[in-house]
Amino acid sequence: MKTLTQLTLALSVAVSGAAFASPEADQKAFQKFYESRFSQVAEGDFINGVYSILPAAREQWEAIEEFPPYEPEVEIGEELYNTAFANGKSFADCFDTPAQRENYPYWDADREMVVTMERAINECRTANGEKAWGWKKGKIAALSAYMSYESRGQEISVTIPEGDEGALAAYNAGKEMFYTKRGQLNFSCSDCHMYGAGLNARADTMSPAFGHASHWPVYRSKWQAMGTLHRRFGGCNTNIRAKPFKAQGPEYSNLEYFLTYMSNGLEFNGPGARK
Amino acid sequence: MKAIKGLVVTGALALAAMAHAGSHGMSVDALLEKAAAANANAKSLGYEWTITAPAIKNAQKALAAGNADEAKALAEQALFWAEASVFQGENEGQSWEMRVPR
Repeated sequence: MKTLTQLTLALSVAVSGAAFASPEADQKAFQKFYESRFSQVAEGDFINGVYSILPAAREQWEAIEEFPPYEPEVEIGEELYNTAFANGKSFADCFDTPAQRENYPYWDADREMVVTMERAINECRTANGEKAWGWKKGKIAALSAYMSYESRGQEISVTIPEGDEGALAAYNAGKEMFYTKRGQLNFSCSDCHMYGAGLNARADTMSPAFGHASHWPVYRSKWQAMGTLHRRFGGCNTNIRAKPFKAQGPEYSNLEYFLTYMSNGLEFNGPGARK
Repeated sequence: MKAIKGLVVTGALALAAMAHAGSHGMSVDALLEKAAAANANAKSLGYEWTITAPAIKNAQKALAAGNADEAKALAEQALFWAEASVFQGENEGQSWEMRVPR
């Protein structure tokens, strides 16, 4: 009985230790998990998602990348970036360069919220008297695609400012979202994209979460269009029959903050093309 | 492995029994009211399932069309899903921590 009690106590301490570990320790354990499980993947290649672990599918994907389906959207995005608002200003007045991916997401201490690149795009519009675009597809995805394209090769380096309790709370909320089971199917993000990565769900292989945040927005064959990361989050939640949260709301913004921080050290390579 | 499967099945059955235990002899209206309240609770916890609200609506439609048996079956189903989603939310508040790699 004593042994059982000690064992339970030790397990509780270990579990709570992992749940409340520092972001740095989390990141190290997260990346180590994938690097151990998929030791065949070359350093930095997790940015290619499921194609980093499936050589046969990679060949097809590389063929698709020769004439990338997101190319027209990148061109539309460039035009949007350079088109003046009604007040004569443009996105160039909000951003010093379109290559902005490396600056997002970040914790805005004044407003106590995570700011994503898509949020910054729409805030630029509303600050200049324009209507905000929808968050998931269409023009915001096109502009985001252009800006991501211009940002290719930038290093993912999200920071959780030291001593900022709000930033840590947002990070922890994103972490909880990632590991929490939801919906009638009772799945967490980690069930499919961590412990189930490389396994099949029906005919599809589940991708590793390490590198998940590197390549957005994405042209999905299923959508026949571009979509943002938050569109995909909502789709994943719907797939497991969980009511999705609002795109750019605190739940998905915090999840993006956590997920991108987990991929620190990799490169941004968006926009992407996926099934 | 067999033992774990048995435990999971037993747990699921126990949950189902718990959800239905309080619904015996209830009218469709009462079932729907209870289901809507539980679903609102699940929503406030951030754990609403996509299937619950449509099931409540379908039960209401069946009731309005005079299909009492169908309405009752749908309402019971909706109540079960709503209560299960609340259970999930309350349980996951702690158990997610076990999935964090160390």
